[in-house]
Amino acid sequence: MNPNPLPLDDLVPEYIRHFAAYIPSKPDDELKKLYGCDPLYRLNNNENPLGPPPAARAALKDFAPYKAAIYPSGDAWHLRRALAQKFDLEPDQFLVGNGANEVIAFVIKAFCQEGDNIITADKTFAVYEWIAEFSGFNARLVPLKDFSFDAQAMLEAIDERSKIIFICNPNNPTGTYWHKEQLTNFMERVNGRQIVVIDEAYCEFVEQDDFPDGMKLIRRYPNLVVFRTFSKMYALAGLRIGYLAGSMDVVDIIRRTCVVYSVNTLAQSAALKALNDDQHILRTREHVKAEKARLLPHLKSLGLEYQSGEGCFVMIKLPLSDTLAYRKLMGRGVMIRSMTGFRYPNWIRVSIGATAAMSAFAEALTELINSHKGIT
Amino acid sequence: MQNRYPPPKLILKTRLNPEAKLNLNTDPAFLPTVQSFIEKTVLAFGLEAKGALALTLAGEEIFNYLCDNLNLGAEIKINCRKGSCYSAVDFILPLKNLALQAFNLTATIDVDNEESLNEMGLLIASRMVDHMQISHNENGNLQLSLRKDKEYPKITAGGHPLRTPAAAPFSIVTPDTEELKFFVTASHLYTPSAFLPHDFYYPGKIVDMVNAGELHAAIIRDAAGAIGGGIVWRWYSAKMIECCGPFILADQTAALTPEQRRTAARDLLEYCLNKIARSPAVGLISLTPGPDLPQNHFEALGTVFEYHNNAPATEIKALFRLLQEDPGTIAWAHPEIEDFLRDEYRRLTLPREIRLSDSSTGESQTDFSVLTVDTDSNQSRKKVTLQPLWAGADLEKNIADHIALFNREKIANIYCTIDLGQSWQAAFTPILHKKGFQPRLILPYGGQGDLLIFQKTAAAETGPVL
Ligand SMILES: Cc1ncc(COP(=O)(O)O)c(C=O)c1O
Repeated sequence: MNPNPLPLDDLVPEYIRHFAAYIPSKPDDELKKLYGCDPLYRLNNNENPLGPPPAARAALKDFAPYKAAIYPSGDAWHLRRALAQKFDLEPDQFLVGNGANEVIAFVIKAFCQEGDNIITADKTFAVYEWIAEFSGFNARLVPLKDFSFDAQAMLEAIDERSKIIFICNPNNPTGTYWHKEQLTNFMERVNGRQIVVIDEAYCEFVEQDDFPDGMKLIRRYPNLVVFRTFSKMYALAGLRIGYLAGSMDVVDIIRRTCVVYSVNTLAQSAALKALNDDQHILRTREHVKAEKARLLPHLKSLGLEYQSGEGCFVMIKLPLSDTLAYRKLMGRGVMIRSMTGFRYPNWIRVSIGATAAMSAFAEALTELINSHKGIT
Repeated sequence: MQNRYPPPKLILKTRLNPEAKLNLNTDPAFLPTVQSFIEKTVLAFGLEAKGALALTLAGEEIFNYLCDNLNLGAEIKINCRKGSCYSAVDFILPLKNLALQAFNLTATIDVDNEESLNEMGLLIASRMVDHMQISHNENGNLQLSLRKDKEYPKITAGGHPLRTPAAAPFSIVTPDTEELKFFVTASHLYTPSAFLPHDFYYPGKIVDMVNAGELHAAIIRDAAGAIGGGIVWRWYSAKMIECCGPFILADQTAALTPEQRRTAARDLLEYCLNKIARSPAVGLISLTPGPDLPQNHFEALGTVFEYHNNAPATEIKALFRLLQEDPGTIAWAHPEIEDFLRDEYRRLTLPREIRLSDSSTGESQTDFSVLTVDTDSNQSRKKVTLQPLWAGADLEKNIADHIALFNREKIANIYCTIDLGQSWQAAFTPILHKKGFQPRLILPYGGQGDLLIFQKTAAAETGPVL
């Protein structure tokens, strides 16, 4: 027994004491042992089964080990120049982070102080809410309406302490999006009083003509901040690299809370090579389209309700507990996302993976549904 | 419904509950200080004179006991807390240099000797209060908590018949005080009492618990304001939330079609799930699954029996769902329980690495064992839950002494939970078996690992028979 127990009650803020740490899934080898499955198909993280674009692969292969001894560019110098060129903005309008997750924290730290709140949806990517809550700021959660962000209700949720509004476009997990006019109407009504973050983590998957490109709206709306990531379409999730873009004044503020040197050399060089590979985007879109075309009729034939929009994932409603379904599917070697944590109890989200993985999923799901029918 | 642990307060932020703290040494000269501190404080909390007296007397017993059994001058803390519907007194003792065996409820008494039973401070204290818990608190201290509930008027079952039954579509809202009381009272009309929480006989208590953030409630309401049903939930343990309901306020033939009724119940449950989905809770448990509970959200954990003094035992079917993806864990098992665990884990599809722990390998043990107890005596049933705090060579005798004591106290419901995440607790299994306990169910992640709940079955000497 420790003779002098730490006075944790005195040291730890109330909002941390009651916050549960997020426990990521165990590594594959451990999971295979635990669930007795091999192979294990991961369809839980919306990764790109095609892998990184060829030029990025080459950059990874050519990485000289001696470079590991040297600090990376502390502010992703070359990558920011390439981004500026691609999106017709200035390099200083970009901040690169260790995944888009890290830039979420930069923005919240830059604008919120005690008593402030952020506004987002109840059923969206959880990290905006988490970072706000464990930093001691209230997250106001506006219910989705018909699986979509509800602009009117979000505007009504604003008060004088609201600092940031997070919109996920297209939304993870529902795949819905605000079209151009919806977004610009919203920006007009916010009228520059709050920072509006548009998280475009999945924008490269969207082919709809009316889908707004946040980068093009930054000039018009200086309070707009756009998030993008190399984890999804560009398949560099393992290297952890994402970024934000905004008006010069706003980015200048956010830069003050930004952790420099948090993005490694390998990630920067692979991202630089990945950025302009449009062929890779087309190939990935084709793959997602083809697999969805196989999956959705199958779900229908099983009598399952689903929600499939933009992005490389589909939500499915099950006649049993999603956390039980997770365990049962794991036993069959398929890992999906159970959605109680997204506030969609009894729904699961499956990422569009490689063809073999999707076949394994379809088979395991069929067995699960049929065996469940036998029980009830 | 007892709050068995202080509830983490993430879900509903509440104003801080009143508290008063006293630091002192275990010196009998301080007895009057302790007495007036407890009495004045709990009276100030609003506890009735009778309850305040009982709690004060219980506190005096504990303090005397500590003076007798701790080194003179040991530092202790006494903390009076005002809960929603109760006042509590915690004695917090640093574990350092503590002779833990003194905290077995049976310590210093001879269970066969009636007189010694009456002299036993801890036991007497437990008889005077509604709830006593000896536990190991988060900061490594031993904590002895006494709790006395406020008295509330009991409603006569039946409630008010609904003049205008609610009709779909509904919206789900947090009830105001009057709506909450209406829902609680009216639920007696439409749901058999076996499915309702005992506290539903005391609407004022429910209101107090909800206002204090210890209980949470949601109701469905139609466009005209008529209430169609509701659900309540609360922390059951540090990691588990318990829900009671949904209860729909309509008889089977009423305004709602079966489909509308199912939808209303599902929406209420999902509302509750969405409220707790991103909380630190790992699971939601339902111990009184009523007719409206959407079972397809749950898994059946198992059954325990509740024995009553003058009535047949009732079955409690525990339903459960995890709120998160199961990352898998280790379960330490004594060989005697291995088959049970394997079968249960297979049935529940819970990924567990079962590791066998064998206590017959001859290494030396400490002489004494310690069990913590949680006694619950404020309801129609008397119930006690044992938990291992320390294993030792006298374990078998210690458990036997506890059982003898509970028999004498006419406590028919004796449970023992062991934490499968803690290897040393495996040694309890063969002794529990020998003493007539049966494993009833596994509560996933109920402790450091899964909790295995044993229940003492009715052996000849305990009275009630299954
Ligand atoms: C909507 C959304 N935003 C941001 C992220 C975080 O991405 P990164 O891997 O760049 O941290 C994700 C990842 O799942 C996401 O779904």
